[in-house]
Amino acid sequence: MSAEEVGVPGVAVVVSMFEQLYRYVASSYGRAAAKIAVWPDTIDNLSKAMIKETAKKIVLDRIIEGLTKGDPVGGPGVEGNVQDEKEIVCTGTFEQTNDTFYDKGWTDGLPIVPPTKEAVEEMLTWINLPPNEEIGILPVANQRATPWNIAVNAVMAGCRPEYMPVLIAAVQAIAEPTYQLKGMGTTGSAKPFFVINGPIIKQLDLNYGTGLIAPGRKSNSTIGRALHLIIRNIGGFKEGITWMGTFGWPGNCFVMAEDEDASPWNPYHVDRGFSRGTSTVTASMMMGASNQFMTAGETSQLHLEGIIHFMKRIFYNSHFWFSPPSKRMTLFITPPNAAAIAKDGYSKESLKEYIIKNTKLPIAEINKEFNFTMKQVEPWTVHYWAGKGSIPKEWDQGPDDEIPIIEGTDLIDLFVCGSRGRNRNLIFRTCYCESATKEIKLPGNWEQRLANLHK
Amino acid sequence: MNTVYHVLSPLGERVGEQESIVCRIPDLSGKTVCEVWNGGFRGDVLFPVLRELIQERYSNVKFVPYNELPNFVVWENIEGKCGSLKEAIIRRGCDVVIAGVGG
Repeated sequence: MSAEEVGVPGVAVVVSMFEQLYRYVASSYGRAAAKIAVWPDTIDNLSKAMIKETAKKIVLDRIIEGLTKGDPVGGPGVEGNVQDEKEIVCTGTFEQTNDTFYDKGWTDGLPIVPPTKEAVEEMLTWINLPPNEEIGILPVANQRATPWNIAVNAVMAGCRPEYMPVLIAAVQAIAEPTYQLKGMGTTGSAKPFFVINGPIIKQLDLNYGTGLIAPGRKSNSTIGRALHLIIRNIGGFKEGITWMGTFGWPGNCFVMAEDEDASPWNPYHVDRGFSRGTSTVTASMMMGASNQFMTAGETSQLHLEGIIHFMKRIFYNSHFWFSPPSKRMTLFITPPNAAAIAKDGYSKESLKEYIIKNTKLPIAEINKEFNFTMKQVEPWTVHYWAGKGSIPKEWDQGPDDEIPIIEGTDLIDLFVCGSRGRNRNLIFRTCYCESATKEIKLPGNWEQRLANLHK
Repeated sequence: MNTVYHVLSPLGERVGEQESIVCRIPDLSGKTVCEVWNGGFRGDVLFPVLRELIQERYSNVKFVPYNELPNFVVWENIEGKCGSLKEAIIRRGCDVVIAGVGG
């Protein structure tokens, strides 16, 4: 598309499973007529001779056609772009509505609550924003997220109206360019997750203890489902078309909360510059998860050893493809473990510094993993990626050397949560994403209205 | 359940309009073909193969190989690199661009 913008015809060679994705994204960004040469099936596992044969017999003609033939007039856009958000798109029973929405790809496969105008308007009474205010523009569909369409998806998910302020802040977070929502389409499977801080945790009965990621708590589950539907319907991420995770991850977005009362440290959002009395939502992503591993002892030693051990195990070489800040490890520690670590004088920052200094892997082992990951003429190695600048040049050492795998403490997020009665930890890993924290803005009569709900 | 619901769309309004693409060229003879690679999916094998095949079919084709243009081997911040890519396409006199490999 860059070439087209400067008046040069271009064609993109795309493997067949990504043809729909390419056409969808091109259309979303105003280039429905973009030319594409489809490579049949996969290319990764072919020999050079097979690549040449396929190119000669099939793909070269498609490339030439893309450069020399075709109508330059813009083609039809991707279907489904809504012009009037308040237009009724479907009238029917519960079952008919669900069938229609499912057929259009607007659901997560589960029954939805029909989003009527009345239900949406009730949602909007819990925020101080005009219904058509632009909250953000979400890739890959390049559609505008507004309080109105956020509320539609929230109704579908079964959210209570008082959850709307959280949803608005969460969408602001994922709309940040640095969050890189578009990276969610990766074949490596990426799942957004959100962590809530501040007084709203208890006001909305968010789970921060046992099973906080698992389904069961209305607030965690429905907010997570609404965010999944928003990312699907406004962001345009649909499995097999634009959401290309090879195996995917189960369920909707994880919505978690920090156990601020039981933490020996400041809550996460305070470290990010917010006051303790402000409520926030932090958006991040995960592509891999460790075991929910136990670490033992009333002092820090074994806890730190265990965290380092599993931090090494969760490493995947794609961490080296990306330069900071587009990668992170998120560490969740239960309150007993946090207490043992803090008792020895570790702050969150000094704990992170310890992790960075001691989480090292042998270069030979990293290179071995690169070797079976991607066949390249110039092999991917630590040396290769240091040359590209995505990892520090000082990491380019000999095969027998051990190097760190995390560049800085800003690439580790740390939350205290999970069972208060258990000594376990959990690590999430991701690339593509820089976590984003946004304030949850509340209507002026928030506490009074909440109190009225519980009478 | 027989209640009838009148329901709304969960979609949003797409930003921007559809634009035309640039007119195509008649053929590749005497043209400069530029390569833009995303760093993976066997592009380092495919692009040399395509050079060979194109030269067999067309005369006097020049190539600007992928390693002489900004490429997206570090896969984030693509938008940040587009400016330098556009400048390079103009500076190198590209008549056409082959980009790949989406995989």
